[in-house]
Amino acid sequence: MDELMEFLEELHPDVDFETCDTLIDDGILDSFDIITIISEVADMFDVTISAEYIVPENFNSAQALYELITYLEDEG
Amino acid sequence: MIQHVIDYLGFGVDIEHDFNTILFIDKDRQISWGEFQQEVAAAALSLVEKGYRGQPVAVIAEHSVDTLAWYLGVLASGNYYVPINPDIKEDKFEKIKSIAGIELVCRGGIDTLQQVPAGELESVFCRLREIYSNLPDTLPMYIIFTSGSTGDPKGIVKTHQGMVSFTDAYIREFGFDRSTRLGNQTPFYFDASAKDIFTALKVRCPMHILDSRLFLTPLALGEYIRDNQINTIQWVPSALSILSRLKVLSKVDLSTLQKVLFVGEVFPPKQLKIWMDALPQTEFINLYGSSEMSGICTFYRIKELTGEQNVPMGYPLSNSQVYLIDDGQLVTEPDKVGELYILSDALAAGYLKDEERTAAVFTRRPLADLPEGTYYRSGDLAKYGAAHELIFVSRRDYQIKHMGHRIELGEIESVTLGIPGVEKCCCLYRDSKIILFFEGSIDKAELSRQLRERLLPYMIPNKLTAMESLPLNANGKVDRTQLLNQ
Repeated sequence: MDELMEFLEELHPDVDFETCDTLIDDGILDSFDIITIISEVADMFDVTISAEYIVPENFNSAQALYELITYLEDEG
Repeated sequence: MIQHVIDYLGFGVDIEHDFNTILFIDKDRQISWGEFQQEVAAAALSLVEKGYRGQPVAVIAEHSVDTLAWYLGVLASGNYYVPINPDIKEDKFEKIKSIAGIELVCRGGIDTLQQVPAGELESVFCRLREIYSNLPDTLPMYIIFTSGSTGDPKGIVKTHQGMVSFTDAYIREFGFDRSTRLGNQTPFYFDASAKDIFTALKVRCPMHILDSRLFLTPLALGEYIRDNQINTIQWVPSALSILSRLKVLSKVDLSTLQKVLFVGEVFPPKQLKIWMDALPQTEFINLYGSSEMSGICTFYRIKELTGEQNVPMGYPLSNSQVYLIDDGQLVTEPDKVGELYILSDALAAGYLKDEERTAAVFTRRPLADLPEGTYYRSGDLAKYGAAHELIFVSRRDYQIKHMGHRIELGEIESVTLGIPGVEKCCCLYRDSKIILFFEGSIDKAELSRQLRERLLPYMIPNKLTAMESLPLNANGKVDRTQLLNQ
Protein backbone atom coordinates (compact mmCIF):
# COMPACT_ATOMS: atom_id res chain seq x y z
CA MET A 1 0.00 0.00 0.00
CA ASP A 2 2.84 2.42 0.88
CA GLU A 3 4.42 1.91 -2.48
CA LEU A 4 1.13 2.57 -4.25
CA MET A 5 0.48 5.72 -2.18
CA GLU A 6 3.92 7.04 -2.95
CA PHE A 7 3.38 6.57 -6.67
CA LEU A 8 -0.09 8.17 -6.62
CA GLU A 9 1.16 11.18 -4.65
CA GLU A 10 3.90 11.65 -7.19
CA LEU A 11 1.33 11.49 -10.00
CA HIS A 12 -0.96 14.10 -8.39
CA PRO A 13 0.85 15.90 -5.57
CA ASP A 14 -2.19 18.16 -5.09
CA VAL A 15 -4.54 15.33 -4.08
CA ASP A 16 -4.98 13.76 -0.64
CA PHE A 17 -5.15 10.09 -1.56
CA GLU A 18 -5.68 9.07 2.10
CA THR A 19 -9.16 10.58 2.17
CA CYS A 20 -10.31 11.25 -1.38
CA ASP A 21 -12.92 8.74 -2.58
CA THR A 22 -14.16 10.62 -5.66
CA LEU A 23 -11.08 10.42 -7.86
CA ILE A 24 -13.17 9.47 -10.88
CA ASP A 25 -16.51 11.04 -9.93
CA ASP A 26 -14.89 14.45 -9.52
CA GLY A 27 -12.74 14.14 -12.61
CA ILE A 28 -9.44 14.21 -10.66
CA LEU A 29 -8.01 11.30 -12.63
CA ASP A 30 -8.26 11.44 -16.42
CA SER A 31 -7.92 8.67 -18.96
CA PHE A 32 -4.19 9.27 -19.34
CA ASP A 33 -3.75 8.88 -15.58
CA ILE A 34 -5.59 5.57 -15.73
CA ILE A 35 -3.20 4.26 -18.37
CA THR A 36 -0.23 5.39 -16.28
CA ILE A 37 -1.63 3.72 -13.16
CA ILE A 38 -2.29 0.47 -14.98
CA SER A 39 1.19 0.22 -16.42
CA GLU A 40 2.76 1.19 -13.08
CA VAL A 41 0.69 -1.37 -11.17
CA ALA A 42 1.75 -4.00 -13.69
CA ASP A 43 5.42 -3.27 -12.88
CA MET A 44 5.00 -2.83 -9.14
CA PHE A 45 2.75 -5.77 -8.30
CA ASP A 46 3.04 -7.94 -11.39
CA VAL A 47 -0.71 -7.64 -11.79
CA THR A 48 -2.60 -6.96 -15.00
CA ILE A 49 -5.71 -4.83 -14.58
CA SER A 50 -7.74 -5.80 -17.59
CA ALA A 51 -10.44 -3.65 -19.15
CA GLU A 52 -13.40 -5.15 -17.29
CA TYR A 53 -11.94 -3.93 -13.98
CA ILE A 54 -11.49 -0.36 -15.21
CA VAL A 55 -14.68 1.03 -13.71
CA PRO A 56 -15.17 4.03 -11.38
CA GLU A 57 -15.70 1.86 -8.25
CA ASN A 58 -12.18 0.51 -8.54
CA PHE A 59 -10.47 3.84 -9.14
CA ASN A 60 -12.40 6.29 -6.97
CA SER A 61 -9.99 5.89 -4.05
CA ALA A 62 -6.49 4.61 -3.36
CA GLN A 63 -8.04 2.07 -0.95
CA ALA A 64 -10.37 0.68 -3.65
CA LEU A 65 -7.49 0.43 -6.09
CA TYR A 66 -5.39 -1.39 -3.52
CA GLU A 67 -8.21 -3.83 -2.80
CA LEU A 68 -8.53 -4.52 -6.53
CA ILE A 69 -4.81 -5.24 -6.75
CA THR A 70 -4.97 -7.59 -3.76
CA TYR A 71 -7.96 -9.38 -5.28
CA LEU A 72 -6.20 -9.78 -8.63
CA GLU A 73 -3.03 -11.02 -6.92
CA ASP A 74 -5.03 -13.73 -5.17
CA GLU A 75 -6.78 -14.63 -8.40
CA GLY A 76 -3.52 -14.90 -10.31
CA MET B 1 -20.48 35.94 -53.01
CA ILE B 2 -19.54 34.07 -49.88
CA GLN B 3 -22.03 31.56 -48.56
CA HIS B 4 -23.01 31.88 -44.92
CA VAL B 5 -22.75 28.57 -43.03
CA ILE B 6 -26.38 28.90 -41.85
CA ASP B 7 -27.52 29.02 -45.52
CA TYR B 8 -25.13 26.26 -46.53
CA LEU B 9 -26.63 23.93 -43.92
CA GLY B 10 -30.23 24.73 -44.92
CA PHE B 11 -31.45 26.24 -41.63
CA GLY B 12 -34.95 27.65 -41.96
CA VAL B 13 -35.27 26.58 -45.58
CA ASP B 14 -35.15 22.84 -45.47
CA ILE B 15 -37.44 22.63 -42.45
CA GLU B 16 -39.87 19.75 -42.95
CA HIS B 17 -37.58 17.38 -44.75
CA ASP B 18 -35.57 15.40 -42.17
CA PHE B 19 -37.48 17.13 -39.37
CA ASN B 20 -37.43 13.97 -37.25
CA THR B 21 -33.98 12.75 -38.26
CA ILE B 22 -31.84 12.38 -35.13
CA LEU B 23 -28.77 14.58 -35.37
CA PHE B 24 -27.01 14.81 -32.00
CA ILE B 25 -27.00 12.50 -29.01
CA ASP B 26 -25.28 13.52 -25.77
CA LYS B 27 -25.30 11.87 -22.36
CA ASP B 28 -28.56 13.53 -21.37
CA ARG B 29 -30.67 13.83 -24.50
CA GLN B 30 -30.98 13.48 -28.25
CA ILE B 31 -32.21 16.04 -30.72
CA SER B 32 -33.61 15.88 -34.26
CA TRP B 33 -32.81 18.24 -37.14
CA GLY B 34 -36.17 19.95 -36.67
CA GLU B 35 -35.77 20.43 -32.91
CA PHE B 36 -32.21 21.59 -33.40
CA GLN B 37 -33.39 24.32 -35.79
CA GLN B 38 -35.87 25.41 -33.10
CA GLU B 39 -33.12 25.64 -30.46
CA VAL B 40 -30.75 27.46 -32.81
CA ALA B 41 -33.54 29.94 -33.62
CA ALA B 42 -34.22 30.45 -29.90
CA ALA B 43 -30.51 31.04 -29.18
CA ALA B 44 -30.22 33.46 -32.12
CA LEU B 45 -33.31 35.45 -31.10
CA SER B 46 -32.03 35.81 -27.55
CA LEU B 47 -28.86 37.45 -28.92
CA VAL B 48 -30.76 39.67 -31.36
CA GLU B 49 -32.98 40.87 -28.52
CA LYS B 50 -29.91 41.79 -26.48
CA GLY B 51 -28.80 43.94 -29.40
CA TYR B 52 -25.73 41.90 -30.37
CA ARG B 53 -24.77 42.11 -34.03
CA GLY B 54 -21.42 41.54 -35.74
CA GLN B 55 -19.80 40.80 -32.39
CA PRO B 56 -17.79 38.00 -30.75
CA VAL B 57 -19.72 35.79 -28.32
CA ALA B 58 -17.84 33.42 -26.01
CA VAL B 59 -19.39 29.98 -25.64
CA ILE B 60 -18.28 27.82 -22.72
CA ALA B 61 -17.81 24.64 -24.71
CA GLU B 62 -19.22 21.86 -22.56
CA HIS B 63 -19.52 18.52 -24.33
CA SER B 64 -23.26 18.88 -24.95
CA VAL B 65 -25.96 19.62 -27.52
CA ASP B 66 -26.47 23.02 -25.88
CA THR B 67 -22.97 24.12 -26.92
CA LEU B 68 -23.74 23.29 -30.55
CA ALA B 69 -27.08 25.16 -30.39
CA TRP B 70 -25.15 28.20 -29.14
CA TYR B 71 -22.50 27.94 -31.87
CA LEU B 72 -25.10 27.88 -34.64
CA GLY B 73 -27.36 30.35 -32.84
CA VAL B 74 -24.50 32.84 -32.61
CA LEU B 75 -23.95 32.50 -36.38
CA ALA B 76 -27.67 32.82 -37.19
CA SER B 77 -27.85 36.05 -35.20
CA GLY B 78 -25.09 37.63 -37.30
CA ASN B 79 -22.35 37.23 -34.68
CA TYR B 80 -19.31 34.96 -34.40
CA TYR B 81 -18.41 32.54 -31.64
CA VAL B 82 -15.31 32.01 -29.53
CA PRO B 83 -15.12 28.47 -28.05
CA ILE B 84 -13.82 28.42 -24.47
CA ASN B 85 -12.55 25.41 -22.54
CA PRO B 86 -14.78 25.03 -19.43
CA ASP B 87 -11.64 24.44 -17.33
CA ILE B 88 -9.94 27.64 -18.46
CA LYS B 89 -8.04 29.64 -15.82
CA GLU B 90 -9.69 32.93 -15.00
CA ASP B 91 -6.69 35.10 -15.92
CA LYS B 92 -6.34 33.46 -19.32
CA PHE B 93 -10.06 33.93 -20.03
CA GLU B 94 -9.74 37.61 -19.10
CA LYS B 95 -6.89 37.98 -21.60
CA ILE B 96 -8.95 36.32 -24.34
CA LYS B 97 -11.95 38.53 -23.56
CA SER B 98 -9.85 41.63 -23.84
CA ILE B 99 -8.04 40.59 -27.04
CA ALA B 100 -11.28 39.58 -28.80
CA GLY B 101 -13.46 42.31 -27.29
CA ILE B 102 -15.93 39.81 -25.79
CA GLU B 103 -18.84 41.23 -23.79
CA LEU B 104 -21.16 38.25 -23.71
CA VAL B 105 -20.54 34.71 -22.47
CA CYS B 106 -23.05 31.89 -23.14
CA ARG B 107 -23.17 28.56 -21.38
CA GLY B 108 -25.85 25.84 -21.60
CA GLY B 109 -29.38 26.65 -20.52
CA ILE B 110 -30.95 26.53 -23.99
CA ASP B 111 -34.13 25.16 -22.33
CA THR B 112 -34.54 28.40 -20.36
CA LEU B 113 -34.85 30.50 -23.54
CA GLN B 114 -38.11 31.58 -25.16
CA GLN B 115 -39.02 28.64 -27.41
CA VAL B 116 -39.65 28.92 -31.13
CA PRO B 117 -42.57 26.75 -32.35
CA ALA B 118 -41.86 24.62 -35.45
CA GLY B 119 -44.53 26.55 -37.38
CA GLU B 120 -42.61 29.80 -36.95
CA LEU B 121 -39.20 28.52 -38.06
CA GLU B 122 -39.55 29.80 -41.60
CA SER B 123 -40.46 33.35 -40.61
CA VAL B 124 -37.89 33.51 -37.79
CA PHE B 125 -35.04 32.41 -40.07
CA CYS B 126 -36.28 34.88 -42.70
CA ARG B 127 -35.90 37.64 -40.14
CA LEU B 128 -32.47 36.36 -39.05
CA ARG B 129 -31.32 36.15 -42.68
CA GLU B 130 -32.13 39.85 -43.07
CA ILE B 131 -29.61 40.47 -40.30
CA TYR B 132 -26.72 38.13 -41.09
CA SER B 133 -26.77 38.53 -44.86
CA ASN B 134 -26.40 42.29 -44.55
CA LEU B 135 -23.21 42.12 -42.51
CA PRO B 136 -19.80 42.41 -44.21
CA ASP B 137 -18.38 39.26 -45.83
CA THR B 138 -15.27 39.71 -43.75
CA LEU B 139 -17.10 38.90 -40.50
CA PRO B 140 -15.43 35.79 -39.01
CA MET B 141 -17.30 32.54 -38.47
CA TYR B 142 -15.45 31.86 -35.22
CA ILE B 143 -12.19 32.53 -33.48
CA ILE B 144 -10.19 29.74 -31.95
CA PHE B 145 -7.57 30.63 -29.35
CA THR B 146 -4.37 28.64 -28.97
CA SER B 147 -1.51 29.36 -26.64
CA GLY B 148 1.10 31.35 -28.49
CA SER B 149 4.81 30.81 -27.96
CA THR B 150 4.99 34.03 -25.92
CA GLY B 151 2.38 32.71 -23.49
CA ASP B 152 -0.27 35.16 -24.67
CA PRO B 153 -3.30 33.52 -26.27
CA LYS B 154 -3.34 33.79 -30.06
CA GLY B 155 -6.69 34.06 -31.87
CA ILE B 156 -7.07 32.44 -35.28
CA VAL B 157 -9.84 33.94 -37.43
CA LYS B 158 -11.92 31.24 -39.14
CA THR B 159 -14.12 32.01 -42.12
CA HIS B 160 -17.51 30.88 -43.44
CA GLN B 161 -15.93 30.32 -46.85
CA GLY B 162 -13.27 28.07 -45.33
CA MET B 163 -15.78 25.87 -43.51
CA VAL B 164 -18.03 25.48 -46.58
CA SER B 165 -15.09 24.69 -48.84
CA PHE B 166 -13.63 22.14 -46.43
CA THR B 167 -16.91 20.43 -45.49
CA ASP B 168 -17.86 19.93 -49.15
CA ALA B 169 -14.47 18.50 -50.11
CA TYR B 170 -14.29 16.30 -47.01
CA ILE B 171 -17.74 14.76 -47.42
CA ARG B 172 -17.06 14.07 -51.10
CA GLU B 173 -13.67 12.47 -50.45
CA PHE B 174 -14.82 10.07 -47.75
CA GLY B 175 -18.37 9.49 -48.96
CA PHE B 176 -20.09 10.50 -45.72
CA ASP B 177 -23.88 10.31 -46.02
CA ARG B 178 -27.03 9.68 -44.03
CA SER B 179 -25.83 6.18 -43.15
CA THR B 180 -22.76 7.59 -41.41
CA ARG B 181 -22.88 7.30 -37.61
CA LEU B 182 -20.27 9.45 -35.95
CA GLY B 183 -18.75 8.98 -32.49
CA ASN B 184 -17.34 12.34 -31.48
CA GLN B 185 -14.45 12.38 -29.00
CA THR B 186 -12.84 15.77 -29.65
CA PRO B 187 -14.00 18.43 -27.18
CA PHE B 188 -15.85 21.33 -28.82
CA TYR B 189 -13.21 23.86 -27.75
CA PHE B 190 -10.74 22.02 -30.02
CA ASP B 191 -10.81 23.00 -33.62
CA ALA B 192 -10.63 19.35 -34.71
CA SER B 193 -14.25 18.88 -33.54
CA ALA B 194 -15.49 20.95 -36.53
CA LYS B 195 -14.95 17.88 -38.74
CA ASP B 196 -17.56 15.97 -36.74
CA ILE B 197 -20.01 18.83 -36.18
CA PHE B 198 -20.28 20.17 -39.72
CA THR B 199 -20.20 16.76 -41.39
CA ALA B 200 -23.16 15.70 -39.21
CA LEU B 201 -25.06 18.93 -39.91
CA LYS B 202 -24.45 18.84 -43.66
CA VAL B 203 -25.30 15.19 -44.36
CA ARG B 204 -27.79 15.03 -41.43
CA CYS B 205 -26.39 11.90 -39.88
CA PRO B 206 -26.37 11.06 -36.17
CA MET B 207 -23.38 12.17 -34.13
CA HIS B 208 -22.89 10.66 -30.68
CA ILE B 209 -21.25 13.21 -28.40
CA LEU B 210 -19.21 10.77 -26.31
CA ASP B 211 -19.12 11.65 -22.63
CA SER B 212 -15.45 12.20 -21.71
CA ARG B 213 -16.00 9.94 -18.70
CA LEU B 214 -16.55 7.01 -21.05
CA PHE B 215 -12.83 7.22 -21.78
CA LEU B 216 -12.19 6.30 -18.13
CA THR B 217 -14.11 3.06 -18.56
CA PRO B 218 -12.68 1.67 -21.78
CA LEU B 219 -14.82 -1.45 -21.84
CA ALA B 220 -18.00 0.62 -21.56
CA LEU B 221 -16.66 2.89 -24.30
CA GLY B 222 -16.16 -0.06 -26.62
CA GLU B 223 -19.62 -1.40 -25.81
CA TYR B 224 -21.16 2.02 -26.45
CA ILE B 225 -19.60 2.12 -29.91
CA ARG B 226 -20.76 -1.41 -30.67
CA ASP B 227 -24.29 -1.04 -29.26
CA ASN B 228 -24.93 2.25 -31.06
CA GLN B 229 -23.45 0.90 -34.28
CA ILE B 230 -21.11 3.85 -34.59
CA ASN B 231 -19.29 3.39 -37.90
CA THR B 232 -17.00 6.43 -38.11
CA ILE B 233 -14.63 7.89 -35.53
CA GLN B 234 -12.17 10.74 -35.98
CA TRP B 235 -10.11 10.85 -32.81
CA VAL B 236 -6.66 11.83 -31.67
CA PRO B 237 -4.26 8.84 -31.50
CA SER B 238 -4.00 9.19 -27.70
CA ALA B 239 -7.73 8.48 -27.40
CA LEU B 240 -7.58 5.58 -29.87
CA SER B 241 -4.62 4.16 -27.94
CA ILE B 242 -6.78 3.84 -24.82
CA LEU B 243 -8.81 1.08 -26.52
CA SER B 244 -5.78 -0.71 -27.96
CA ARG B 245 -3.52 -0.46 -24.91
CA LEU B 246 -6.16 -1.67 -22.49
CA LYS B 247 -6.95 -4.62 -24.76
CA VAL B 248 -10.56 -3.62 -25.35
CA LEU B 249 -10.25 -4.45 -29.05
CA SER B 250 -9.81 -8.13 -28.28
CA LYS B 251 -12.81 -8.15 -25.90
CA VAL B 252 -15.43 -6.10 -27.74
CA ASP B 253 -16.25 -6.63 -31.39
CA LEU B 254 -15.90 -3.20 -32.99
CA SER B 255 -16.29 -4.39 -36.56
CA THR B 256 -19.18 -1.93 -36.99
CA LEU B 257 -16.43 0.66 -37.45
CA GLN B 258 -15.98 1.30 -41.17
CA LYS B 259 -13.67 4.29 -40.92
CA VAL B 260 -11.15 5.26 -38.28
CA LEU B 261 -9.62 8.66 -39.00
CA PHE B 262 -6.94 10.17 -36.83
CA VAL B 263 -5.36 13.56 -36.64
CA GLY B 264 -3.18 15.80 -34.52
CA GLU B 265 -0.15 13.68 -33.70
CA VAL B 266 1.79 10.60 -34.76
CA PHE B 267 -0.03 7.34 -34.03
CA PRO B 268 2.43 5.05 -32.18
CA PRO B 269 2.96 2.28 -34.80
CA LYS B 270 2.51 -0.48 -32.24
CA GLN B 271 -0.94 0.80 -31.21
CA LEU B 272 -2.01 1.37 -34.81
CA LYS B 273 -0.99 -2.20 -35.60
CA ILE B 274 -3.20 -3.55 -32.80
CA TRP B 275 -6.12 -1.61 -34.30
CA MET B 276 -5.45 -2.76 -37.84
CA ASP B 277 -4.98 -6.39 -36.85
CA ALA B 278 -8.21 -6.35 -34.82
CA LEU B 279 -10.26 -4.69 -37.58
CA PRO B 280 -9.02 -5.95 -40.96
CA GLN B 281 -12.11 -4.68 -42.82
CA THR B 282 -11.92 -1.15 -41.42
CA GLU B 283 -10.41 1.74 -43.34
CA PHE B 284 -7.70 3.63 -41.42
CA ILE B 285 -6.99 7.16 -42.57
CA ASN B 286 -4.28 9.53 -41.38
CA LEU B 287 -5.26 13.20 -41.60
CA TYR B 288 -3.06 16.27 -41.60
CA GLY B 289 -4.27 19.79 -41.02
CA SER B 290 -3.48 22.97 -39.24
CA SER B 291 -5.35 25.36 -36.97
CA GLU B 292 -4.67 28.05 -39.57
CA MET B 293 -7.29 26.51 -41.86
CA SER B 294 -10.69 24.84 -41.66
CA GLY B 295 -10.41 21.09 -41.32
CA ILE B 296 -7.54 19.24 -42.90
CA CYS B 297 -5.58 19.49 -46.14
CA THR B 298 -3.97 16.09 -46.72
CA PHE B 299 -4.99 12.51 -46.00
CA TYR B 300 -3.62 9.01 -46.43
CA ARG B 301 -5.60 5.79 -46.64
CA ILE B 302 -3.37 3.22 -45.00
CA LYS B 303 -3.03 0.03 -47.00
CA GLU B 304 -0.48 -1.75 -44.90
CA LEU B 305 1.91 -0.90 -42.14
CA THR B 306 5.50 -0.77 -43.27
CA GLY B 307 6.85 -1.09 -39.77
CA GLU B 308 9.52 1.42 -39.16
CA GLN B 309 8.28 4.48 -40.97
CA ASN B 310 5.68 6.97 -39.84
CA VAL B 311 2.36 6.78 -41.66
CA PRO B 312 2.50 9.25 -44.58
CA MET B 313 0.49 12.50 -44.64
CA GLY B 314 -0.54 11.39 -48.10
CA TYR B 315 -2.20 13.52 -50.74
CA PRO B 316 -4.06 16.86 -50.80
CA LEU B 317 -7.80 17.10 -50.24
CA SER B 318 -9.54 18.41 -53.38
CA ASN B 319 -9.94 21.98 -52.06
CA SER B 320 -6.24 22.35 -51.28
CA GLN B 321 -2.89 22.35 -53.02
CA VAL B 322 0.34 21.78 -51.15
CA TYR B 323 3.91 22.58 -52.17
CA LEU B 324 7.29 21.80 -50.67
CA ILE B 325 9.83 24.57 -50.88
CA ASP B 326 13.46 24.46 -49.85
CA ASP B 327 15.85 27.35 -50.18
CA GLY B 328 13.66 29.19 -52.72
CA GLN B 329 13.25 26.08 -54.89
CA LEU B 330 10.20 23.90 -55.46
CA VAL B 331 10.87 20.34 -54.28
CA THR B 332 9.42 17.66 -56.57
CA GLU B 333 11.81 14.73 -56.34
CA PRO B 334 11.45 12.04 -53.63
CA ASP B 335 13.31 12.13 -50.32
CA LYS B 336 14.29 15.79 -50.45
CA VAL B 337 12.99 17.77 -47.47
CA GLY B 338 11.12 21.07 -47.91
CA GLU B 339 8.79 23.30 -45.95
CA LEU B 340 5.10 22.71 -46.58
CA TYR B 341 3.07 25.60 -48.06
CA ILE B 342 -0.71 25.31 -48.34
CA LEU B 343 -2.88 27.02 -50.95
CA SER B 344 -6.56 26.53 -50.14
CA ASP B 345 -9.99 28.20 -50.00
CA ALA B 346 -10.15 26.92 -46.46
CA LEU B 347 -7.30 29.03 -45.06
CA ALA B 348 -8.04 31.17 -42.01
CA ALA B 349 -8.15 34.93 -42.46
CA GLY B 350 -5.16 35.35 -40.14
CA TYR B 351 -4.40 36.07 -36.48
CA LEU B 352 -6.73 38.38 -34.63
CA LYS B 353 -5.33 41.91 -34.31
CA ASP B 354 -1.82 40.75 -35.16
CA GLU B 355 -0.93 41.88 -38.66
CA GLU B 356 2.74 41.26 -38.22
CA ARG B 357 2.34 37.61 -37.27
CA THR B 358 -0.32 37.15 -39.97
CA ALA B 359 1.95 38.61 -42.66
CA ALA B 360 4.79 36.33 -41.53
CA VAL B 361 2.94 33.10 -42.34
CA PHE B 362 0.08 34.03 -44.71
CA THR B 363 2.05 35.05 -47.77
CA ARG B 364 1.51 35.82 -51.44
CA ARG B 365 2.73 33.03 -53.71
CA PRO B 366 6.23 32.21 -52.53
CA LEU B 367 7.59 31.34 -56.01
CA ALA B 368 6.83 33.06 -59.31
CA ASP B 369 5.76 29.91 -61.17
CA LEU B 370 3.14 28.84 -58.59
CA PRO B 371 -0.58 29.74 -58.90
CA GLU B 372 -1.77 33.13 -57.57
CA GLY B 373 -3.28 33.23 -54.11
CA THR B 374 -2.61 33.36 -50.40
CA TYR B 375 -0.41 30.59 -49.08
CA TYR B 376 -0.02 29.40 -45.52
CA ARG B 377 3.56 28.71 -44.56
CA SER B 378 3.07 25.77 -42.19
CA GLY B 379 6.41 25.52 -40.43
CA ASP B 380 6.24 21.76 -41.03
CA LEU B 381 8.96 19.98 -42.95
CA ALA B 382 7.99 17.13 -45.25
CA LYS B 383 9.25 15.09 -48.19
CA TYR B 384 7.79 12.97 -51.00
CA GLY B 385 7.90 9.19 -50.96
CA ALA B 386 8.19 6.89 -53.96
CA ALA B 387 4.47 7.19 -54.84
CA HIS B 388 4.61 10.98 -54.52
CA GLU B 389 2.88 10.72 -51.14
CA LEU B 390 3.84 13.38 -48.63
CA ILE B 391 5.72 12.21 -45.55
CA PHE B 392 5.95 14.37 -42.47
CA VAL B 393 9.52 14.93 -41.28
CA SER B 394 9.31 17.38 -38.36
CA ARG B 395 8.43 20.88 -37.28
CA ARG B 396 10.82 23.43 -38.71
CA ASP B 397 11.47 24.52 -35.12
CA TYR B 398 12.69 21.01 -34.31
CA GLN B 399 15.40 21.24 -36.89
CA ILE B 400 18.69 21.72 -35.10
CA LYS B 401 22.34 22.22 -35.91
CA HIS B 402 24.40 19.75 -33.92
CA MET B 403 28.14 19.36 -34.36
CA GLY B 404 27.85 21.01 -37.75
CA HIS B 405 25.05 18.73 -38.99
CA ARG B 406 21.45 19.71 -39.76
CA ILE B 407 19.30 17.24 -37.84
CA GLU B 408 15.55 16.72 -37.67
CA LEU B 409 14.59 15.77 -34.12
CA GLY B 410 11.42 14.28 -35.64
CA GLU B 411 13.51 11.84 -37.64
CA ILE B 412 15.17 10.56 -34.48
CA GLU B 413 11.72 10.20 -32.91
CA SER B 414 10.36 8.32 -35.88
CA VAL B 415 13.30 5.88 -35.89
CA THR B 416 12.96 5.39 -32.12
CA LEU B 417 9.24 4.61 -32.43
CA GLY B 418 10.10 1.84 -34.89
CA ILE B 419 12.12 -0.03 -32.24
CA PRO B 420 10.20 -2.85 -30.52
CA GLY B 421 9.51 -2.07 -26.86
CA VAL B 422 9.23 1.69 -27.34
CA GLU B 423 5.72 3.04 -26.75
CA LYS B 424 6.27 6.78 -27.01
CA CYS B 425 9.20 9.11 -27.24
CA CYS B 426 10.16 12.73 -27.48
CA CYS B 427 13.46 14.17 -28.62
CA LEU B 428 14.70 17.58 -27.48
CA TYR B 429 17.78 19.69 -27.92
CA ARG B 430 19.18 21.43 -24.85
CA ASP B 431 22.62 22.78 -23.98
CA SER B 432 24.08 21.36 -27.20
CA LYS B 433 22.85 17.88 -26.31
CA ILE B 434 20.26 15.67 -27.98
CA ILE B 435 18.06 14.25 -25.25
CA LEU B 436 15.65 11.41 -25.90
CA PHE B 437 12.80 10.74 -23.46
CA PHE B 438 11.09 7.41 -23.93
CA GLU B 439 8.34 5.24 -22.51
CA GLY B 440 8.04 1.48 -22.95
CA SER B 441 9.32 -1.92 -21.84
CA ILE B 442 12.77 -1.54 -23.42
CA ASP B 443 15.72 -0.71 -21.16
CA LYS B 444 18.24 2.04 -21.76
CA ALA B 445 21.11 -0.26 -22.75
CA GLU B 446 19.07 -2.12 -25.34
CA LEU B 447 17.61 1.09 -26.74
CA SER B 448 21.07 2.57 -27.01
CA ARG B 449 22.26 -0.51 -28.94
CA GLN B 450 19.28 -0.34 -31.29
CA LEU B 451 19.74 3.36 -31.94
CA ARG B 452 23.38 2.84 -32.81
CA GLU B 453 22.34 0.32 -35.44
CA ARG B 454 19.78 2.60 -37.01
CA LEU B 455 21.04 6.17 -36.78
CA LEU B 456 23.99 8.01 -38.27
CA PRO B 457 26.60 8.60 -35.55
CA TYR B 458 25.98 12.36 -35.27
CA MET B 459 22.25 11.76 -34.76
CA ILE B 460 22.60 9.43 -31.79
CA PRO B 461 21.11 11.03 -28.67
CA ASN B 462 23.62 12.12 -26.04
CA LYS B 463 21.29 11.22 -23.24
CA LEU B 464 18.46 8.70 -22.83
CA THR B 465 15.83 9.22 -20.16
CA ALA B 466 13.32 6.48 -19.38
CA MET B 467 9.94 7.69 -18.14
CA GLU B 468 6.90 5.94 -16.70
CA SER B 469 4.83 8.14 -18.96
CA LEU B 470 5.62 11.20 -20.98
CA PRO B 471 3.82 14.34 -19.78
CA LEU B 472 0.93 15.34 -22.04
CA ASN B 473 -0.50 18.79 -22.62
CA ALA B 474 -4.20 19.64 -22.68
CA ASN B 475 -4.44 18.48 -26.30
CA GLY B 476 -3.15 15.02 -25.42
CA LYS B 477 0.14 15.66 -27.19
CA VAL B 478 3.54 15.20 -25.54
CA ASP B 479 4.28 18.36 -23.56
CA ARG B 480 7.67 19.38 -24.96
CA THR B 481 7.87 22.53 -22.87
CA GLN B 482 7.51 20.60 -19.63
CA LEU B 483 10.22 18.15 -20.74
CA LEU B 484 12.52 20.99 -21.76
CA ASN B 485 12.23 22.43 -18.28
CA GLN B 486 13.03 19.16 -16.52
